[in-house]
Amino acid sequence: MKSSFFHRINQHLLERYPNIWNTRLVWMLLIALIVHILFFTAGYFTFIAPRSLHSQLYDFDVLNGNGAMLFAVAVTIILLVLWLVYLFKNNAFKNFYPTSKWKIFLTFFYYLVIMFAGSTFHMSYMVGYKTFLNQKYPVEKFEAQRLTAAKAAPFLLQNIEDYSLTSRRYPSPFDTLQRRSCTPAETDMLLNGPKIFAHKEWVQFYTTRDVITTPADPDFDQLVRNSLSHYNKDDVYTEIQNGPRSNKDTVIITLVDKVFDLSHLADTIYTIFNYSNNYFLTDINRIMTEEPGLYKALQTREQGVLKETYELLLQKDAAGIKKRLADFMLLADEFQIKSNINVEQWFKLVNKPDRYRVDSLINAYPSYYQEYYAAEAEAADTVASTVDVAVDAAATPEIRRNTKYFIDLISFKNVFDNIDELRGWSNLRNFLHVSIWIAFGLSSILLAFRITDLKSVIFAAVAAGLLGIVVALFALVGGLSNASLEFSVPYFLVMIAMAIFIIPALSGRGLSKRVKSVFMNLTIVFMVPFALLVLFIISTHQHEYFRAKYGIDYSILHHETILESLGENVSWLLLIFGLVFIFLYAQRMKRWKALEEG
Amino acid sequence: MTSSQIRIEEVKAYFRQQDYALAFRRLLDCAMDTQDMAIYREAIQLTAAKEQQKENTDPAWVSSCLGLLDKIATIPLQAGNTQEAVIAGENLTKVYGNSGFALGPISMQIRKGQVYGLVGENGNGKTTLLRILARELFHNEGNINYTFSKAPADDYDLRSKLVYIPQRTQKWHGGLQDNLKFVLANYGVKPQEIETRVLMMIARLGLWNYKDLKWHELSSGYKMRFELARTLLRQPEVMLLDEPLANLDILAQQMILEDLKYISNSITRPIALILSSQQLYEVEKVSDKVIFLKQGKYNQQEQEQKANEAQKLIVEMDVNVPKEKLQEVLAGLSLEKLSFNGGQFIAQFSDSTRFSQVLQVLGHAELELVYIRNISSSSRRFFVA
Repeated sequence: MKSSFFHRINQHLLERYPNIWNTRLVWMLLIALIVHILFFTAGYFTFIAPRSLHSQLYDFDVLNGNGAMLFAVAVTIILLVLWLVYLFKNNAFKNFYPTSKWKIFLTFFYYLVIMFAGSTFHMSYMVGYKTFLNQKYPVEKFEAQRLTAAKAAPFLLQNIEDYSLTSRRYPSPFDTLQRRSCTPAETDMLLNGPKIFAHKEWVQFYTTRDVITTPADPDFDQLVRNSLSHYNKDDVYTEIQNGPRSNKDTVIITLVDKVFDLSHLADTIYTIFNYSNNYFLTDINRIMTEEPGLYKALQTREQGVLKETYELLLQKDAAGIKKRLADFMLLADEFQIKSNINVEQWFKLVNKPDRYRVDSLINAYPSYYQEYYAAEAEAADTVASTVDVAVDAAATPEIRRNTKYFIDLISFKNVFDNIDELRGWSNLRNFLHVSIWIAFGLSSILLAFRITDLKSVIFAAVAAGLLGIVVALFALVGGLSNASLEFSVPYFLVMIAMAIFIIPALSGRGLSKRVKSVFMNLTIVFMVPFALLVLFIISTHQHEYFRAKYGIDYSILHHETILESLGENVSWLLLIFGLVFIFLYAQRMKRWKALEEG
Repeated sequence: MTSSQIRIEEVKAYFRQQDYALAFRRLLDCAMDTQDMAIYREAIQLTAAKEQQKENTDPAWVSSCLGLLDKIATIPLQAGNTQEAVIAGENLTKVYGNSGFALGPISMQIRKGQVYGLVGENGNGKTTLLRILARELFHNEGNINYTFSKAPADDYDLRSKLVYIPQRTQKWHGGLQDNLKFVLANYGVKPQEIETRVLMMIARLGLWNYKDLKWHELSSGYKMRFELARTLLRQPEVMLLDEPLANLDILAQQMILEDLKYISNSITRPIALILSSQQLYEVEKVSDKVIFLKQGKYNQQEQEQKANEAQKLIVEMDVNVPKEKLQEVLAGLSLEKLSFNGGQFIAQFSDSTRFSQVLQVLGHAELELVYIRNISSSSRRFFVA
């Protein structure tokens, strides 16, 4: 019954859609679909246990870590090899029946679809776990969890420096001012103006201003000397060495504008008031580069959390603080985070309503040190419960304040980071492009084999290798003679490519059918890379032009090369170009096929 | 009477003479010419019934066959054009640079409905000529004109119309029927007609009992039949076959040649058939014209002229006697030359000697005669040294 069903489908395809039958498109897509569903399911259940999110992960780590990628590659190889065997068994590479360029194009397109469907199982796996993470941690819920963590963060007592004056970002003007600190031995780093001494360090708060200039400016050297950050300095001198053109290069120099006296607002002890870390809210740097609007919104939210905490502390709201700790512990339980502290014990450590001085620290992981002290001083909440800096001045603030307690905060942070990172779809797009082009390349080779034969494909591969050696030698000779390779190598490649494309058309009967097949196969496989090369050359010229006209930082002035402005779209454009090319070139393939030998 | 009616009467006569195997094959030829699917289906049923019975003597089956012939007779057939040359080659020349072998110049006219036997010793350019005509091989000089009932759209289209079957046919994977259906599907035949047409071709080429097998399960002879079926489904106007009889036993050779002859003589879709072979006598039997290549040369006019001229009697024979004894026996028949090639004697007589006289003399002498053939008008004579 089963075989008759397959037989009926096969016969239907054979009689009505011979090309589809011959390429085994339907069966391959069906098998691929089943495998995709399996991979999706496996992906979906990857992070079913929150514990699996405890170590820091990126998409590639997930794929490699549990063998999903390896397994997907193995399945792909088996599937595609079996498919090729079936193509041979279907006589798919030999017949001289009437065909049209449309049929040749469709053959290629079917190859492409099958190759793509059969080589993207890892993507289904990714879609699986991303779908799970998006379902399990929808944006609103996840943001609420962030907020819960962020609100408890000041009380986590993990890193003593988070409670120092230099960390303070609330209230105003702490939120907008830059700060720097130095030890008394390094006072030459101090700026002119007021300073505060806290935790054996000098601290200064100040504002900055940017000056946009060029090396041609008479005051340039003075500005560089005064600049706060010298990050541009080396670049500037490097550019000058490269030639006078760089004198026009735009350089941004950051200078100190004004130093403020905040001694009346500052608390010089380690206190929870100073805590301003925004870690749990989001990775601000990433957001800033990708979505500036979102960055502002998050800044506002961060300020809101800081304000709320500040007011909670001002009001000495013990119940409020305890609720934050309890909420956090619930979340930690949900994330299967290890800890040896309960809410009451924790509350006891943080509830110092005097100035909310930080006397005790909770460890971020159960270290050997912790286990040792846990055994030695199980009865005591605090291992070295001193609040007086003078008692053991030699010890670091961490050691002096350490307790036997720990909350596995590294895993806790990783859970947030991982969810944030892994549920995003941008990496999937990268994988998509890579997969499409691998499929396109393999399909081109297969089409070349379909139209010509194995011998011609092998000759074409050998010819491509030899041409690669010629280009490498050209670059080597150019490099040895100190010539600029920026243009010469691409243009040399263009010349070779043009010769490959044009010679068969101009040769008439001067070249044998076999030799023409090598040219044709090279054209089929390398036309898209050639188009990319042309775009690259145009971009390089644009880059040169903009740099000459606007300086090295021309992108600041919103000038982009064609590749920069196309961005990811260049992949889609080249794909369309590739498909159109195969369609148009199919006519030439037919002409070659009809050639006589000898 | 039209040619169709004449043919139907012939077939009926075969049935009456109880030559059922031949009669049925010719019946299938008549049916195929109709291009009528109802007729095809009926013919297929009769084939199935024929293959089920051990002896083809079932009166009901014979009656059904005759009934089908009557139905076929009612269907008007439009005769295909056999006048115009489908391939006209003029002064074709091919020179191989390495070996120095030169073919031609050769001029020839190939018409549909005709069988052309291409003969010659090994290395005389038979395959080269076929490949040139099939546009597989570039020729150095001369022109070839192709005239098909529908002009080809481009070179590829032309190549797909020039059906060339090389001596070593391609290996085909998969089942016979699937491969044959694939041909028709590629030619855009209506899906509902594909199975019928395939089965009809299978029936015609004697592949019925092998239709569910795979290619590699067939013997050499049936592989050639499959190749012919695959080719004929393309409804070619010209077929170029290179040594189709190689590796076939004598019976298979005769069967295939007969089939080819009948199929190429189709009334509605005549085919110009050129086949090269070493099997001189078998090819000569079915060929309308023999093209003899000698050292790459073919002179159509000269050969035709020679064929029309009064010829000397040339006899090929295998007699178990010494050459001297045979020479003595044949001396009274104006024997001009007697040669022995190690296996057979070739005796050349003056044009006054008749073949019956030679038989008479040999009979009287009571020699042990194993084999004898009059090759005076056969191309075999060109091979005589």
